[in-house]
Amino acid sequence: MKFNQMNRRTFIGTTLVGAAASVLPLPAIANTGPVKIGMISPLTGSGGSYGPNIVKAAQVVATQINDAGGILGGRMIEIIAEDSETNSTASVRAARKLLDVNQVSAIVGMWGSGPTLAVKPLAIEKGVSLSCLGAADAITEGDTQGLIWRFQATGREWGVPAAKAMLAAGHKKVGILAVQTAFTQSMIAPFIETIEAGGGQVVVQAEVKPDQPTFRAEVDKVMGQDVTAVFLPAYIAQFTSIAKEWYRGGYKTELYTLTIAASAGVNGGGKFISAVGNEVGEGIHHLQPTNDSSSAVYKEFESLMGAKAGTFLPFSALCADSLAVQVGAMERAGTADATVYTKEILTITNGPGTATSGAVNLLNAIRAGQDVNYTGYGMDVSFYSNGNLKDRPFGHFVIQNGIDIELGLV
Amino acid sequence: MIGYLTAILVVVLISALVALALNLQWGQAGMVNFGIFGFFAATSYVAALSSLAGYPLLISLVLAILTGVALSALVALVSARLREDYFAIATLAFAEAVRLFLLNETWLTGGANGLPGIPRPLSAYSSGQSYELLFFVMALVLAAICFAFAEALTKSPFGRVLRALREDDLVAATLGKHVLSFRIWAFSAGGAILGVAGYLHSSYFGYIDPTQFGAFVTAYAFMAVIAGGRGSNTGLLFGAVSVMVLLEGTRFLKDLMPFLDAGQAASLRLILIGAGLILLLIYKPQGFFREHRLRVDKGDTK
Repeated sequence: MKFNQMNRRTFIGTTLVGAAASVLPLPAIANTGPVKIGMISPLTGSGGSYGPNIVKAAQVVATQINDAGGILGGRMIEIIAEDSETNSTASVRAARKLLDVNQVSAIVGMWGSGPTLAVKPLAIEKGVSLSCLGAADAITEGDTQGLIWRFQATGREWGVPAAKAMLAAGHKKVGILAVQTAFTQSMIAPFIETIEAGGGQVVVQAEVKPDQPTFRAEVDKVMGQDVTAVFLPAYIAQFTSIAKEWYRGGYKTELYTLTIAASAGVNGGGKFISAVGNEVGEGIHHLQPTNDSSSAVYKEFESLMGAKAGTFLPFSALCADSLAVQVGAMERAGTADATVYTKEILTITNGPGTATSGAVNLLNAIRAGQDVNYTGYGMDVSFYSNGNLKDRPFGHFVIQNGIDIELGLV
Repeated sequence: MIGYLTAILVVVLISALVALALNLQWGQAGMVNFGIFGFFAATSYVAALSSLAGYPLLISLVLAILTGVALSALVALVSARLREDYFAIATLAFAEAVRLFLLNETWLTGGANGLPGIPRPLSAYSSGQSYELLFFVMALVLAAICFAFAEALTKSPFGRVLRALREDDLVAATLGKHVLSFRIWAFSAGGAILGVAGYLHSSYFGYIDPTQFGAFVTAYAFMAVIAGGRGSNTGLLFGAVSVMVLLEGTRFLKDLMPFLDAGQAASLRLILIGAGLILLLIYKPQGFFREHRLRVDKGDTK
């Protein structure tokens, strides 16, 4: 079977030819092939309950855009999703693949502060735009060269409304039970400041690891104190266990958390309420930046996602917005080169111009040469020049009979 | 593609260094170090903090190595008399203490936010793609030095005593070997290599946070050592490469299966990694290589 054997020279020869062949056609493809958009999302690990819907959001919007003829004169959008494993070192390896092998034009759906901070220098070095869903302040600090865009409120913005809502409800002695992640930790200092400025007192403070098997000791420690309400910055995985412990312990303390952890949805279709049942969920308060779920474009988005009307889909709409804004800016600038097109992001999100929502509407308006002000899937999208999303009012909800009731804006 | 391969090779070198340390401590001396990620975290943070404070490459590297040696010596000193399983638990407890320290001493370590913007060494000499190659060469040189160090220890009489301690410390003690001091030296030698690994890790990633140092670091190191063949330094290089091929190769396999949704593809990837390791253990339970043995030439037996 001599013909099957490969000697060293043939091997080196074919390897070199193969390597050369893989490099040569690239410049030719770059302007006519698909526009590649990478994603680094938490498909496994402690953020694993959010990732699949984040990726799906980008995929359904990309399909919608492609069905309407693509961008930049007919180029299709190709989404390449990688698993961040909710871990910054795995995210860096994923980013290397997306940047060096797939040669993506932008990365969207970058979830979590740690992974984002780890990937940020690579994206800047490659001149690729990074749209993230992480809350740590450091993400947009330093010279980002206009490439880093945060589609998420900062930690400070999450901490203050929760404190205000608790003060407004008359809670003066409160506790904190926080998960140790960059996102949730960044809310604590502004929360305490606001409570103390409002004449209240943080009586007890405890922290839990994201992957603890049980939270009973910490729940007992905090709820056993003389407190009338507890603030619980957490994700859905931890909050589900914490709420069960709270219910089992028969505590009268009121719980305040984030909508991403505890949404029941106005239709009762939220993951949290399906996991714990109506009795445990009863009376839990949660807050998030306002989301106009009644808008036509949000309803269309929900049906694309295959969700019932009124289901809260954490991070998904913001991820869809980040894709819409990136491709809108590409269309406006006429190129997929991030060092050029990201300069158009502020013009299409902050206006002045016609209020436009949804990716396809945005692209059509830009092609028609209109000035646009992108308003997003459910939430208005406007940026500060450093890439931070502008503050929005927070909606305050309470779960009653297994559905979310909005109590008003904070 | 070259940029990606260089990046992956640097990551392989770092994990091979962690495995090399584990091979000295566990493979040779029989000291099960489940808490290896704690030592790795401590040296990474020391390297990062000293780089951020403006110290040059060599000083940061030496500080990281000294931290590794000092912490390892301390842990070995207070717990080396524990039997194998209890020693493993003690190291795990140490690593957990390190993790809690890193999470809570925000003034020093940045807490859960970690330390961003760690300066990259030698960046004055090169940038972009060629910098990646330069860093790879630097990592390769450091790894080669550590490898030579570990090989020298393994083949020396010192290494022979370690293997004797691993098999039966009572026999070694009866022969007049001071068990405790040998164990402390072996553990500290591993700590020195972890110092190099920590320095490379923090300066390569440019950002560190506590989530980078979890039990999975220990798991990958054990996988590399077991796959390579316990006790064999050459083997663990192959082990570290095989683990990375499993971790990264599955990313490309997933790209060939567009009919799976993202969540399914990610789960399948983890299943494949697990299946790969199980197959490895079934078909190569002793690993790829044997540990170093003294060879006696025929002439010498006469």
